[in-house]
Amino acid sequence: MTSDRDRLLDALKPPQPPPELRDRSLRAATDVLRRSPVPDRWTRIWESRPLRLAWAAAVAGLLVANTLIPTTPRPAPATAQGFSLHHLSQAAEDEIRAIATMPRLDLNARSLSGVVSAAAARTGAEETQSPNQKENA
Amino acid sequence: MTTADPASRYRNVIAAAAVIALLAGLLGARILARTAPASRSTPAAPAASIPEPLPLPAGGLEVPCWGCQEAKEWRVEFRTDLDLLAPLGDGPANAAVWFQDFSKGSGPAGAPTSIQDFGTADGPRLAELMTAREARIEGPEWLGKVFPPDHPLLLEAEPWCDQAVMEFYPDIYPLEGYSTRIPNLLFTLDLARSWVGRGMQADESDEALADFRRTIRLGRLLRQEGVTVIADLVGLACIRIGSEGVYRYAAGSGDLELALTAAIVLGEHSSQRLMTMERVTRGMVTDFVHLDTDGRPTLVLSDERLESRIISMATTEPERRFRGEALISLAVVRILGTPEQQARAVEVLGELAGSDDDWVTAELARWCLDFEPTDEFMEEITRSL
Repeated sequence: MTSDRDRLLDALKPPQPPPELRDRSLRAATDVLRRSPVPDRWTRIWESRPLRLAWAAAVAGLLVANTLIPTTPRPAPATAQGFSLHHLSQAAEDEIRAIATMPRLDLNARSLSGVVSAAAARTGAEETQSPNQKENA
Repeated sequence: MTTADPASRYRNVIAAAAVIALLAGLLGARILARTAPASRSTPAAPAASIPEPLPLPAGGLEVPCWGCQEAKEWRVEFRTDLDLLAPLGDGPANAAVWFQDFSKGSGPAGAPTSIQDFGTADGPRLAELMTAREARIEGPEWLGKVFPPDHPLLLEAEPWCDQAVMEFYPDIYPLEGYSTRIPNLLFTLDLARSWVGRGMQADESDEALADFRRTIRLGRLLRQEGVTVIADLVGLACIRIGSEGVYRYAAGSGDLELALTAAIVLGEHSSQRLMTMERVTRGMVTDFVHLDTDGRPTLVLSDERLESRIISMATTEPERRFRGEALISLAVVRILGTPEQQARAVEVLGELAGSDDDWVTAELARWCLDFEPTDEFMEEITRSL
């Protein structure tokens, strides 16, 4: 009776996995890990989408900047520096402007009557009248 | 997930970083190439000797009559020999080499106003000068603010004013017509006032006179090149300041002969300013530029005035700075005059551009022929009307 019961109970036990399954599974898992390693730092950097976008933006910006800035200086703008007395730059200091500011003089200016100029031409004695100007320098 | 070789990924990342570094380096090099050389070192001024002032002529000094008729034909320069007060030194260097470091840029505040203005930036020592100006002290009332007597800039400038020559054009500043740069003339005035202020306080007459004469030499150097009217006027001002120092000091110490010489030189100062203005008035056209009904600048200038004043001055005036003023006026006529006047201006400018008589005039005439007014230029003319 005991042996029949044992045989019956044995038949109800769940089937055991093959004994070599554990080793086989571990070997297979090891193989998979070896084929797909954890990405290293350089791979992570190379494949990072945000870093790629930043790199592309930096390259584009630098290319534009290099294009906008030529190596030779741009010629000075056509505003006066100070070559011509009557076109002193707005940047000229007040003191320099004061030296450059003088009354206009026209030695050939004629009055309406022309008498004074004609008399001066005859005698050669007329002297240029200096205007009563405060000295600037 | 990719399974690339880690070594190749390393090379890829390094290559990408190298591209960024290369482009950034190129950009930096471009910017540096356009800016003023900040670290350029100015050579020391070579040694020079200063001759002693000439003795007074045996018959005494003649007082020039700037109010007489014949003065209309005189060159606008001292008739009295300034070697009587302050002969120029014999230094072989170009004094302009030192002064260029203090140049002011072309922007409104003297500094570049945009990234494309770096080519006309301030001189490398302008910031140093602006700081030094803040440290000025009150000098004698007739001088105003001056540098302290032992200020490093004063000491450094001294040997440069012993040189025989000061030439800015064309090696230091190119001739660009209307936009031609000028040296920092305010700095030269600061030096003039400071040296004379120091001289007035000196214990020894030799030291005092050395400072006054140095100021006069600076003025003579500024007037030497004769390219721009404003530099000539500032040089004249420096000579006036130095001569007044000599006069005050000599009169106070009883040296009447020296005081008399200085007084005669001083007497020529105002006359030259007025004659300068007479020349400039003769060659200017700004009084004849008006706004038409459409608000655009237009020139209303008689042919007679164009020929007898402006063209005559541009072609026959013996002093180049006044020819320059007339040439600028011809450039305006070329743009705003009647078709006949424009053609006449082009003809005269063409003759002058091809002339060998004076390179400054020829260069300026070429600029006037090529000049095309920008919107900025026309706005400036319109604003001034």
